[in-house]
Amino acid sequence: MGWLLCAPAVLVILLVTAYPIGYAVYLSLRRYDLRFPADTAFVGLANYGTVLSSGLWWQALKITMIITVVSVAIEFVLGLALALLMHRTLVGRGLVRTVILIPYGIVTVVAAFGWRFAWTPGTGYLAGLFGDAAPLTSQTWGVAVIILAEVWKTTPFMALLLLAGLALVPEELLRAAQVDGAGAWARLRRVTLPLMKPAILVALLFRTLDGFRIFDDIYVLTAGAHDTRSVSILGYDNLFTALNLGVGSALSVLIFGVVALIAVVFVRGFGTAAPGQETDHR
Amino acid sequence: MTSDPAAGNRALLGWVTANTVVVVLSLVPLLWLVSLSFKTPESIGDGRLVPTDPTLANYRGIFTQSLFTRALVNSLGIALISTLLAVGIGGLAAYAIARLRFPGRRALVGLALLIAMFPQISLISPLFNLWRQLGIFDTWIGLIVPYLTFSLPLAIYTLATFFREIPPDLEKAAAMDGATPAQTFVRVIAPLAAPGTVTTAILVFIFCWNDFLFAISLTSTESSRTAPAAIAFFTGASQFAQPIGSIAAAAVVITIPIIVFVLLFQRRIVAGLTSGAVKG
Amino acid sequence: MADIVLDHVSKRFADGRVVVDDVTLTIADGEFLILVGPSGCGKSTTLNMIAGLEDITAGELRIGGKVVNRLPPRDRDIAMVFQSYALYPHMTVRQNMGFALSLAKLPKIEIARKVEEAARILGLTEHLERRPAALSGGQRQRVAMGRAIVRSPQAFLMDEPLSNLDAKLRVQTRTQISRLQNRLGTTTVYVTHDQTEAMTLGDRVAVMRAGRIQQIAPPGELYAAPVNIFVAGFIGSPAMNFLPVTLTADGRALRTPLGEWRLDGPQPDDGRQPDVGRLLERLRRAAPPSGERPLVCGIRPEHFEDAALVPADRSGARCTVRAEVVESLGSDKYVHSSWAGPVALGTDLHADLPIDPPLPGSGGTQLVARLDAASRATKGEPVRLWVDTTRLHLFDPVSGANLTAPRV
Repeated sequence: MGWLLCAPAVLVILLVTAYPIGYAVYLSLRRYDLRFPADTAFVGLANYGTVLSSGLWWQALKITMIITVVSVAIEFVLGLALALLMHRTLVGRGLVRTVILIPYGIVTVVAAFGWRFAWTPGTGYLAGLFGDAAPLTSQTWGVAVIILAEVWKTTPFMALLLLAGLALVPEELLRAAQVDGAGAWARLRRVTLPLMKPAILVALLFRTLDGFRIFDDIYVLTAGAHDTRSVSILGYDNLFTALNLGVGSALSVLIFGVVALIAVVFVRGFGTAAPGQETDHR
Repeated sequence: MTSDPAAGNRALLGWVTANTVVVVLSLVPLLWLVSLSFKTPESIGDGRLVPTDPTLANYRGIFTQSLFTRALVNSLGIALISTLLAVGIGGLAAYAIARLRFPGRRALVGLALLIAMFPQISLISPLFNLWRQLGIFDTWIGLIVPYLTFSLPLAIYTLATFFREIPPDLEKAAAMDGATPAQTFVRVIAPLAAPGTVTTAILVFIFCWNDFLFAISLTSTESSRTAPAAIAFFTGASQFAQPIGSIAAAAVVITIPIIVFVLLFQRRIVAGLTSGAVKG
Repeated sequence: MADIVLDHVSKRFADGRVVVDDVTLTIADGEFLILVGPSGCGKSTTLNMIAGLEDITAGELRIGGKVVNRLPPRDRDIAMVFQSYALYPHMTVRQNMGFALSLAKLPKIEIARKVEEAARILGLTEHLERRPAALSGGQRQRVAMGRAIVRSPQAFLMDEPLSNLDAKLRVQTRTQISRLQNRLGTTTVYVTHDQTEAMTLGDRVAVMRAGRIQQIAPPGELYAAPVNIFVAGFIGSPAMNFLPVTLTADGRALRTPLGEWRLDGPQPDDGRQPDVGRLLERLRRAAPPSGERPLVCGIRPEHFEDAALVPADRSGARCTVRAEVVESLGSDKYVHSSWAGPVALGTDLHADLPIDPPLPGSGGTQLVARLDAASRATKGEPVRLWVDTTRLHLFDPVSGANLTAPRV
């Protein structure tokens, strides 16, 4: 009965993910250039060799890592502050909660255009902020703007996850800590954060894996120019510009591998409880 | 808590300031787009937040272009169908996960989590090729299928949380009251699950409405290109006009449904977003 | 209305655990039967099997003479009151109470009449249009009762219906349920873990432990003649005291941690009080004398008295304990005492009985005596106790069987 009800969902999920990933592994082992569709052959790991020996892959991986780590770190700090604000604020709680859902809900492409115009000389209010240069035409500034866009868009989500964790910390415990002589900072660091740890780890896992997939923001802001490509942008370019399905598939498999590795590190290394495990206690 | 009125006022002032900062930071980028969308090509570079000579020309422009109107129809249709399917199929699985004990239940939950975090770019190459072979490249179904897949975990998580909040005793009570399983579902479970279903539908809709990667990769013409993808291909109302105004106007238009949802269902969205993830 | 018969009914879960083990039980038409026992004893599973909410693994269940093993709940014509009340939150009180009737496709007027009648009986008339969320705990409980009685079913099943109420309301509602059942005369099976509810409500009480029925009897009999240590310890509050004792070789004295208690001696048998002679006679019949043997001796708290208040010539044993705690309730005084040494009960029994296991640091054996309010017992001082030896229960330490239970 249980399986019967789950069967449609499982079927769809497997058909659209497991099968294509298997297919990608197959394609990645073959020469398959869309310009020469007839000329396909088994080439072993040659496509992987092409990718791994290319500076583009390592450059994209580095940029992706930087964007992910920096934006998740900033999001965590801002998200925690925002969560505390929403949890404790005396005024306008509803307003804040409503307003922060706008960055969460807004179409990423739309938000990215907003930032692009903001930083483009002539149409932007931020362009002149750091001298005359157009920020989106340099690698450093380009990445910085991409991180800004990413942080703006996803901090609310982080904040809401942390807020939910915050709500699980019993008020009485904080009173007890206060009676024990803990100040606000000590209460946060020694009581609140340890109790929120599961929620924090889940939020970080979600956001790290999500950040690693970054595509929309970069596509709109720099289109990957000036060495601001993420691995997703690289994969896309490879398919639609270079038209090389074999190499593109090798890229797909590598990205999947990196994401799986990150997930394993979180779950095994930090002991992040995968959401869903707890459901058995209820 | 504090008895000193001055300190109380200072605290209040602090909260008000902090809240204001959050509100401003959240809204300004959007307001800037709104502002641009009402500007004429001449004033678009004036750097003012309030347009000096507001115009609807940009909106008229995009709504006379089939590129955008057609994309809007595609977006709505694809997102709505995906949402209905995801809530339907996800609902069945969520009910099973929330209520029934069966072997492999945990594995299923793990699978859902895995999919939620799956790098979509990894699917682009194989799906691109598969869809062309199957003849569903650049069709609605070609987008609905991946949207459904990636929104199912979200739907299952959220719905399972809501189902779990319905006490199992109610189903037993309905059985004792003489209800058949179908009657129990229609008269007891469904009315109680309605709020959770609406929440889930909103979250899934936002997800589908938001997608860009699949939309630009698996479509090639107006016949199935969605609004976010269309905006990226904008060339302006006329060939010589800067498309900035048009892009801004289109961006504002596709943001409207999100704003409506947020204003109407703020509480539910927050509950839905936080439901699956907290208890880890 | 109908009788309910469980004929060698068992329940085994998918993981192999047997939670109800060969239960045979006949509930007469109109009877109020209580299933009582510690948590996990299988009482709720038994109730759910009668309801049709759980499958029966083995055995036969008959309601009104008809085998209903395979019938879904809706075809059994029984109503249930849940511990959580299980009121439909999206329906008004009226809709909640009328739900079963509307499913049965009764005419609207008929439903309204029945619901209003039940609401009148339960004092819910002015709440009919409200939702459960707007009601107090006691009102919700009454709605749950109302939902059951509007259907005039063959039987009521109640699963701990009072456990979510506060103490005062629980006592009030208990009386109401009792009156209601008397008035309607509907066969009722009532599950509880609370021995007070069991003793006050039921015509008969079935005590369960580990999936098995230990004893089925009217409350008074259960109290006076428990068949084993478990029933003796479970029924009664405060619980019966258990001491490890040795029966002397001549079978006429007990060596207890509180000294030797002679079981013979002058017995003023006035015909009303049981005498030690009968006790010994029953013991001899159950266990022929065979030298010294260890036993577990059970004494209810009220069968102690302050020795100073008992005539010196009255037979019975006397002993001295240190009063560690004295609780004065006005009508009585409870004296608590403990001492180190061997314990009468194993840990598995302690887990299931409402008796505190020995506290670390305090003595191994605990004793509670209920004394007359006139007793001078003071905290921290020794107190001389008199024991009514005619009321002792002697149990086999291995099987737990009561060797001295009066045959009724």
